[in-house]
Amino acid sequence: MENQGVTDEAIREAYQRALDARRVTGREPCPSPEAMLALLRREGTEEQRLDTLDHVMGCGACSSEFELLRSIEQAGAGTAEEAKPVGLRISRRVVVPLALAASALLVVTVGQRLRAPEGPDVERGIGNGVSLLEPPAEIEAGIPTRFAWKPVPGAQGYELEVLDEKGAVVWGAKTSQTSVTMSDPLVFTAGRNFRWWVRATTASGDQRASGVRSLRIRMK
Amino acid sequence: MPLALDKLSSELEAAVGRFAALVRRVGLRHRLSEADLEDVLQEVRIRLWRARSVPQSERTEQVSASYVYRLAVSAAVDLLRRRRARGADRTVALDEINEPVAEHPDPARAAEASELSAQLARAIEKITPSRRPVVRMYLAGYSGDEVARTMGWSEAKTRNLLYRGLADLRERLEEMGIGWKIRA
Repeated sequence: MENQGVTDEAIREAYQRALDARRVTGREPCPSPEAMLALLRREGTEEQRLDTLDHVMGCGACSSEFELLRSIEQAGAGTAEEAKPVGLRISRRVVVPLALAASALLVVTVGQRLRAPEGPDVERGIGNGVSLLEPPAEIEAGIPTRFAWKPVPGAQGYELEVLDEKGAVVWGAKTSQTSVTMSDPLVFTAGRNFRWWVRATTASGDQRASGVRSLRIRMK
Repeated sequence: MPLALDKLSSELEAAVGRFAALVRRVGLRHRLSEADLEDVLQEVRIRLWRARSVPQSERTEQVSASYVYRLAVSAAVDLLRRRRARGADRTVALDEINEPVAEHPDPARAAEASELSAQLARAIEKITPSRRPVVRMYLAGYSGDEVARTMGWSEAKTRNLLYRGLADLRERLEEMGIGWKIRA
């Protein structure tokens, strides 16, 4: 027997579209990041957690925020489990035949997403946002230092920070250009080591950062 | 000293990289934004560097996976708060900017799809509240293990709630004249 109707895949796609459509609404009714964390840590009553989960799973903006926190929380749990002695390790594979439960009632086509094998890990190095050009890793003391980076499409401004050995910001600059020169001889004194990085800000307020690059000051 | 700094930098990057791989393994199948994750990781790197640059006698933390995890949670919560404060709902990767918006090749089908989404949203709202979040997770592509883990439920309870929730949804959709494709 076959009854024409929408497939499970079509229902899932429709759900994704509904989520995206809800993204444009205001965030006033959205649960706080702390409430999402409480849900993930099973804090509070089940009723509270169900309320939070119901909203989060039905809100495009919240669902991606929730996924960020969920992924971090679960990765944290993974590191804790890896640290346990082997004999105490609890199996993470609590097999719940969810698709079977659904198919027992609906015998639907289970979407690719549910069964998709885990793909290869995506590794990205630092500096995915802003590529730093100069100065090199080592410069002479007492000469003006030019910091330069590649332009970022859509960026309205850049913020440079130079950190000392203790991580304190010793010099910074905001500019709309892709370079800035530091000429204060009292900062970059011989024998010191610094780290520097750049953050780009777009017109919409979104930000992308560079990696952190080292800078050593040698004697002339 | 420079060599020590390089070694420290490598250690920090390795610790962050290992943690990032775990996060991506969990989230990339769902709605995890790579741009958001990169923002969090960058903040973690900065915080780690600042923390590790203080004299050893003043340090209270080692660069352990659990320390990176705690920094990542804190950085993520800060990121979400900042974003909400400025009214944005997510980070947009720069390579996503100015991306041309593809028009649907078939406007009639696009309208149908849009209508189905609206009807589905209305049908879901009518599901028994205790079952609704489970159905939402299922439709969003989460596995039973992920549902059970999130709520701290047993396999049996998760399966039962999903079974009943999907039955609710099917009934609501049928009331709207939408059949769910059945094969037997």
